[in-house]
Parts: sequence; C-alpha cells; structure tokens
Amino acid sequence: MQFLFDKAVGYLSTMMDFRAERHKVLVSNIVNLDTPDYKPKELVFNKSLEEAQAARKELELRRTNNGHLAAAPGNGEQFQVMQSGDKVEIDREMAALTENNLMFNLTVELLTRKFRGLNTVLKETR
Amino acid sequence: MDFLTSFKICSSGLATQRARMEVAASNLANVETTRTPEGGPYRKKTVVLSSEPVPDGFNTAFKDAVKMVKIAAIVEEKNVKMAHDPSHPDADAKGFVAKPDINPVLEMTEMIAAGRSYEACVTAFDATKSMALKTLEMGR
Repeated sequence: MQFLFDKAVGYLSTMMDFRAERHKVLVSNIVNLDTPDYKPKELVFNKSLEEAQAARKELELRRTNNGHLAAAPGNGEQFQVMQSGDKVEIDREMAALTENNLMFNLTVELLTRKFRGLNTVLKETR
Repeated sequence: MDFLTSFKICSSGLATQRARMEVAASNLANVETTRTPEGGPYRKKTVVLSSEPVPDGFNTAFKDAVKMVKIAAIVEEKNVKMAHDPSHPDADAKGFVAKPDINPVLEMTEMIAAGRSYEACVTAFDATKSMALKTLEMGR
C-alpha cells in the first residue's frame, strides 16, 4: 500500500490523532473552569512527528504465519500530557481550542485533497 | 478518536453551569424569605464543584488527564441576618427578624460567571461538532 498512500497520509493521520486527543484535553480544561484545585493540562508531542510516526510502527507483533493479521497500531504513546499552569485561564483555553479546531479542519482538508488527487488519477486512467 | 467523550464532557459542564445559575436565581428570589417548609428563614445555597474521571470511553494513556465536572455538594449557609423590624409578623420578642444572609450583588456576579462559563462550554461543544462533521466530509 506504500505506493498508493505515501508518507504524507501517515503524517496527516498522526496529526489528526494528536488534534483529536488535544481537543479532549482542552475541553476538559474549559469544563473544569470553576472547579477548585483543578490544574489545566496540555497535550504535547513527545518527540518530533517523524519519530512519533516511527514509534507507531515499532509496535508490530511478530507474525509466525503469513495468514496472521498485523496488530493495530499503538496509540497514545507518542503524545504526552503536561500540566500547563496553576489555574485555568479561559482566554488561553478558548484560543487554544479554536486554534486546535482550525488545525484539525486543515488536516482533514489536506487529507481530503490527497484522496481526491488519488481518485482523479484512478478515474482518469480508466 | 471518539468525539462522544468530548460531547459527554461538554454536557457535564453545561449541566453544572446551569445548576449554578439555578441556585443563584433561587438565592436571589428568596432574598427576603423568612419562612420555609423546614422552618426558619431561607438559607443561602452554594454549589461546590469537583472534577470527575470520565467513565470508560477514554482508554488511552491520558485517562487521568481528561476530567468531567460534577456537583460535589450544595452547601447551605449556617448564618442568618438579624434585622430590626418590629412590625414584621415573624419578628421575635425583641423585634428582630431572621432573614437570609444573601448579598444580591454577589449573587448577580455569580450568575454572570455561570453564564460566561456556560457560553464557553457551548463554544467547546460547537467546536467538537464541527470537527466531527468535518471528519465525515473527508470521504466525499
């Protein structure tokens, strides 16, 4: 499948994963705005995107038979949760939420265009 | 990538902020109430919030990072305000009436704060919805 779906698709899907997980963390911060003792959190990349991508592939199970299916890629290890402050600041969180939302939409848009390009190639050669 | 968890967290926020608004409204409405079914004047109520882990659904490494919010308790104020008003039907022998210890200004600010937090939750909910819809668009 490497010839059909190049590296960019892998990067973009890792990016989408990251944005979706970060969205959850940000929503949790906003919802706990008035909770005393709640510490805001932030999701960060453990390593560069490339290494994160590699870490994802490392988790393959050994296959003793060609009929065995590959294990589902491991998820969550490439990102890390950190405490981002002492108290939830609503303006910061709303800005981060909007930024994350737009970046997610951008990632989806890029993936869509990638697939549309593939689709065009497949259609036009018929 | 389950957006349902985000929806669940958002709705817990919406519900608690609405409850805060209701309690503030109840405090404001009963600012002069001197009789209650339990006896004595109305007692000011305060909502205490606490964060709560999301029940299942979130099974990755960040389980303890994502929290819902819930109402831990609604605490009743012990103190009452004694006001001198001998003509009041509930006045005691010395002419003092026990009234709820409520500061309307504080209750108004509490209502504004609850309203703002509610709006923040709605925005977060909208963002989640737009992300989910955008993902569905990908196959087109």
